Amino acid sequence: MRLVLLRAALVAVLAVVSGLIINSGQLNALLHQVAVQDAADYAPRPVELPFVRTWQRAGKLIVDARALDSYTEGHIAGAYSAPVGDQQRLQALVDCCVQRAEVLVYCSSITCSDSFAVGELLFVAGFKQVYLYEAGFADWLQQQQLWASGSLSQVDSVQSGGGEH
Amino acid sequence: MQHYVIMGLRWLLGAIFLYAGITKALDVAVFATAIGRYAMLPELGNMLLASTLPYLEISTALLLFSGRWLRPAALLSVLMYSMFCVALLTAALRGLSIDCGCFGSAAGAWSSVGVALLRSVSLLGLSGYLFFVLAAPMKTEERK
Repeated sequence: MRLVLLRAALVAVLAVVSGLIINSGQLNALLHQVAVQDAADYAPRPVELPFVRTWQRAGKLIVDARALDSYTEGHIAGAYSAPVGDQQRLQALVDCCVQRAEVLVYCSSITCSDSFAVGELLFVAGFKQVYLYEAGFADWLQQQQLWASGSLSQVDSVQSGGGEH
Repeated sequence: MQHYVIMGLRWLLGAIFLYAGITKALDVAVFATAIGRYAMLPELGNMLLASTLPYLEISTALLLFSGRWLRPAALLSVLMYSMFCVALLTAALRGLSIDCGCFGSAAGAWSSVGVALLRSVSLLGLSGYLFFVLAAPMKTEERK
């Protein structure tokens, strides 16, 4: 009986290994599949400047949803560019960073909606939590100028040109 | 006479396993979806089972056809049909009206839970009979 069990186990192991090898492609794709979320569940959290500064200092993911020209002129240091409608950049961002789960998005100012739209696309693509810096780059720049007038140590938080990710 | 019964059972079970294994192996994604309808495993578990079970069925069929390692093959047959019966029974108890996925997407009306459960119980009985019939000569020899 022991020999029967051993032989049955051997056949089972060989069959399982064969199946895993033959279907390794599909299994690998499933393991790396990003959980696609429903846009109806999108509930971004609005955040203010102190949160953004802490976020930036921690080196966490920041996305600039403005047009590429505006981004090139100036952006929050460390921010990635992913303008609305630029699927290629958006996909690259998802591919590289979706495992980080959390993202902070901003656009020009309180009047723009690009950060909301890009945040929604990132959420649907798999990011679990989206933070919106609604006051946007205008607020960031204004605060940097105020800080700069009092303390030059803050100036490096604004990166102008040449730092595109 | 018993020799012909054993031969008939080997070919019957072998043919069913070979057909079921090939139809499932040809479309693993469809089979994984069919397993998912039982709502018993996580998505990765469905895919792992769908990726490996067809090859176990094909291996068992080849052993039954070849006549080599018949008792291990009959044991695997018993184990697989036991597993199918448990899955189908739980589906029936939960009132699931699903395609059993027994033969990929090729079975049509023959794949409803009730029909599949009856078929699996019958084939479990035949597999068990084959296993014990094959054990009998060995016991006789051991006694000698």
